[in-house]
Amino acid sequence: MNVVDLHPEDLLDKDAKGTLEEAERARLGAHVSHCSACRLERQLRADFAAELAADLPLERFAGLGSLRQLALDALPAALPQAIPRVTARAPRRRRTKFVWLLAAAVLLVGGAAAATNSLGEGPWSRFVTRPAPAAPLAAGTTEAPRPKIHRAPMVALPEPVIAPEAAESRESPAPTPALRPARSQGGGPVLAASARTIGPAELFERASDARRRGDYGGVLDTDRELEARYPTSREAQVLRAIVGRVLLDRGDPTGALARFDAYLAAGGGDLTEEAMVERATALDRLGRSDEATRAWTALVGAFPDTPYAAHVRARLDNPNGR
Amino acid sequence: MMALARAAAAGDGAATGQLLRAVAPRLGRVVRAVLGGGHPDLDDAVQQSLIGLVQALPAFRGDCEPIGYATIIAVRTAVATRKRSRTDQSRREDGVDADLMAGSNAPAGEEVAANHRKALLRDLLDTLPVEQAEALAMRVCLGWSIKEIATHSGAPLNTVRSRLRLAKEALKSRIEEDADLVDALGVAR
Repeated sequence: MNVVDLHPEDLLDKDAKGTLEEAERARLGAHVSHCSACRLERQLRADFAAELAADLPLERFAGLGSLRQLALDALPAALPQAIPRVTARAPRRRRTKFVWLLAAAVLLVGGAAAATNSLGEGPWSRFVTRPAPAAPLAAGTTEAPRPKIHRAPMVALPEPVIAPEAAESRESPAPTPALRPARSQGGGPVLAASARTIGPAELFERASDARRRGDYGGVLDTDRELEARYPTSREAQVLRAIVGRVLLDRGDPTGALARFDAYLAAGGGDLTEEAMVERATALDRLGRSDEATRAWTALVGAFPDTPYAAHVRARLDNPNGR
Repeated sequence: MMALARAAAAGDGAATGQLLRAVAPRLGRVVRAVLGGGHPDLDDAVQQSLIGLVQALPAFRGDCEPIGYATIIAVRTAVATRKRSRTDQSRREDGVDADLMAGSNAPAGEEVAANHRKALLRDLLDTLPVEQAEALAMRVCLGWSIKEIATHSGAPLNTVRSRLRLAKEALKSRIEEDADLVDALGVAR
């Protein structure tokens, strides 16, 4: 066990597999006797193992009943030519629309496959892979932890909603343009999205949708549009931090730094701690060590309880070990 | 299932349907483990996991088991759902958990204690940074080894260790706030 690995994870793995040797068992026992986290982990593993082993019929979920039907009956059928339109909308989803959502998602498989080749990283990236950092951390250092940010945008962006009318139109021999009553005017139907003004919230959702799909170009385009049209909106401010992180993850610390600077210069917000961390990380990756050190120090000054405090202290104590 | 997944990844609609049917129960269990049986967004999260899987299929290269591929999508969706729900407390029904009401063959005391432990972990997942929350969920809820987490999540081994270390420090802090749990664990002070 070294300083980094305070918890004997490998021994816990062996314990779970029942492959501990006597000496290892003794070491693990000694650790667990005083480590509440590892002790609880062992109990929780058993708790969840029982839960996962429990039978959970597919029909437990009402929507999955429809899913099975869809899977067995609808999917093998010839796929309609029309690809449902994806629109940004309030993030509330409806279970009753799930069948259409799934059908649309299935339809998009082909398109997404093509996108795989062109983008290198497709819409699955949010779920399956994360972009690798631009530059690996120096040997002997640990990955800087993420701060405790409870705001939704950094941890769970609004989900894309596929317009059900598009899916519904697939059943018609001659699909008609998706129309939706104009709530504000109460008159006749108007075109759903194209003819109305797109507000900052909708642009933000568009960016979130793009990010979820792995369409980073779309994220950046929407960011620029939001900056141009609603530069003082809360959505623009939040997106600055998000885009900064996207750029950092995508290997553009210079661009990321600019976005974090913009976010902080505009007064920050709920993501200030995160932005300060990422900004310092960007400076590190740019090799601007002195500025990075000042940024890390400023972080601890502003957020003394940040989970990064230990990381910063270690860095300041051992500047050569960055 | 590998052949099925490859066919689905190639855009075979029938294979996709079969694959979804095959993995849906597992995904349901995983999402339920992370969210808890009484979470109001449980069904939505399961559905979203399946949609996420369909969207991710084109990237499936067959270099891991399809069920692991699907499981990690479910974990990430469930963690994201927990965090999203936390921002809208009005949508939650705190204190009402189907786990607490569900029947079980386990002795009542043990079941209550297990539910207490699981509730503590789930609450912690809400507050951890997403990468740590996902790693901790894979570790504790799924029982995955460090190597398995690294393999499935695509993160370097030491990154996974780092995330887990930080998550467990947070877990430790949370435990220490719960005197009953500390006593129940019987940890030497």
